[in-house]
Amino acid sequence: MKILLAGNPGAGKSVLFSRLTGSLVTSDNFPGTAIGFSSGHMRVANQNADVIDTPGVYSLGSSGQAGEVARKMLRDGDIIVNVVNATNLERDLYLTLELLEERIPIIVALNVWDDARHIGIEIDVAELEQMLGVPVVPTVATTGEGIKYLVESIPRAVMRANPAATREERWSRIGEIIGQAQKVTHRHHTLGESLADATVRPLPGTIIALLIAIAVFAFVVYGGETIYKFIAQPVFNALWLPIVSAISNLTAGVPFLHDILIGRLFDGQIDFVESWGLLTTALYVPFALVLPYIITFYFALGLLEDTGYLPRLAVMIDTIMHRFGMHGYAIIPTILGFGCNVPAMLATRVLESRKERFIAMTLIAIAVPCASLQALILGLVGQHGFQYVAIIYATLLTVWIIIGIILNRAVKGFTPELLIEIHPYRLMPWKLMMEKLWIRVRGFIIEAVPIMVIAVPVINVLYLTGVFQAITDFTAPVVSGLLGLPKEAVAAIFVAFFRMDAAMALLAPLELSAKQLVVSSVVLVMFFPCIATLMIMLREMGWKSLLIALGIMLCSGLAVGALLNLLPI
Amino acid sequence: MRDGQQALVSTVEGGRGLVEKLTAMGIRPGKRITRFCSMYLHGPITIRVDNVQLSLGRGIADKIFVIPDGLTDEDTSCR
Repeated sequence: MKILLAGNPGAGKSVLFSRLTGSLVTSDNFPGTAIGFSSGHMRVANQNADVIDTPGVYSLGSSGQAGEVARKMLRDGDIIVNVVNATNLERDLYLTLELLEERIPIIVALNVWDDARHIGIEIDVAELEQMLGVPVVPTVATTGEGIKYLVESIPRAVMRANPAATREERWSRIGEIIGQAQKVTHRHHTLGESLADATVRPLPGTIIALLIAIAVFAFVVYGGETIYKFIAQPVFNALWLPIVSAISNLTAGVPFLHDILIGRLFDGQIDFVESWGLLTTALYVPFALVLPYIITFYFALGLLEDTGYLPRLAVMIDTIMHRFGMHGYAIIPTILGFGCNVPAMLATRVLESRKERFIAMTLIAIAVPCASLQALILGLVGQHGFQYVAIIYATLLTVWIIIGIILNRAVKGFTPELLIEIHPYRLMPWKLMMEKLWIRVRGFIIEAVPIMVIAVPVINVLYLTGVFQAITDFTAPVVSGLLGLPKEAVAAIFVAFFRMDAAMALLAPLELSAKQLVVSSVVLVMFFPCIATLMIMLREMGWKSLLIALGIMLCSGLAVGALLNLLPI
Repeated sequence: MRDGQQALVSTVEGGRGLVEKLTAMGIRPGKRITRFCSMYLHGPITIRVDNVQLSLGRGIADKIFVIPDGLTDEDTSCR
């Protein structure tokens, strides 16, 4: 049996989905991101059933990818659970009436039931059931209220197959239903709502946005540092160091094996960052250096997503983003890029025009460093003083703005206007937030650790066999002459193709000055994206655009690197 | 319309796709909307229809024709 969840954006489908299946999907509060779908399993009437979360749409007739996907998916479902937001009954019923015309059994989950009551909306469920001719079950997905009854009621779903109606007929029918089944009592704003409103007002909204940005940055940086200093580093030193030291002693007689597993020793000691061995650097970089920042970043991002703040930020920043040929929505993929560029590229799908998507993707690839790279920048450059980290971020921001303005002029095409719904703030249950965080952290571990484990020995072998030496001499004029870096730094640029964090770690033994670290960090961010990002960009924009984007990265990366080298930092 | 003012939607112009999308989002002739807030520098306008809050760019907002009915909502104003 295949159960489909269908409903308007923001009706709570995704949370309901995780309540029904027990597993979690990344559910975002803004419309459109759920293109592509999540599926899970549940038990209904002692039978196994597949549950599929369809993209949120306002109408089956809606144009665009989401509408198309939704229509296609409806064709091969057995039962539809139509999730209706009780606070927007009138509008949400439009989709319901459309669904009732399909030849498929339907049950309505009247979600956000608690909020509807709070804001003075009374819905006569029995009357609504009668008028629609299908079962209606009030639910509160965020707390789990009514879910059990909904599951029990699924087998009672009814197929109506109403005759096809015109848009006007549907709206007038909705008018009748609302008139009979809903009563609204007026009521004044609460303090909470006034606060919520402040976040889309120009002046308070701008101040709040800046405060949130500062708070998030401070939390990610200091929170990550705290986890590193008080958990990750002590654990590695106390528990792992004795084990690898023993292995180091055991393999001392077999230099090749020792080089691969442990790497170089410094004054007879293992250095987790610089030794560059399979059991040392390949594990220490992802688990100790990067993971703490991954955890704090995705925790903060999850809060912003689940509370519903991000669409408001899109409104605040819309005017600015139009200068770069995008509308305000593009800020959301950009923020995702600070975690990992791969999901950021996928998230640009919510942007409507080709021009917008090209600019957004190119800017993310050029000027938005992922969390792995940032962790290493904070660690390595931060040792020399926080002002150098600030120089890196200021440079990237400037690059983002300048290239954005140029691309807006140079790229043909149009930039559509913003049109989004701002859903009320909500609090997600902690359990769901933690599950989502875990899914993302697990994703990082699954992706990063194997690549590190392969890349570190391969790089080691390239070093040992002198291949890097040849490349190094070849590129020396550019790397040393133009960028002012030691010629060995070119290895990092190659490694960055596989793992950004490994590339930064590779710079550690070179004893770079603060200025050289600034230059190399900026060049690493701006130059080629990592291979995973590159593949996604290829798929999303095609060969031609990708080559142009890569050309922009190479030229601007070299230019900015050379310029920084000339400046007295 | 000024911030905080209410009005009835009379017509929505523009391409079929836009009209359909706005209708589905809740903006259709006869509905009462409240202009809630607008961003600086010709930025998006946020409006309310029933319990729905929508933000739209000026170009889209200009295509929604309304008849102000003199009502204002004390709670719903930018300042």
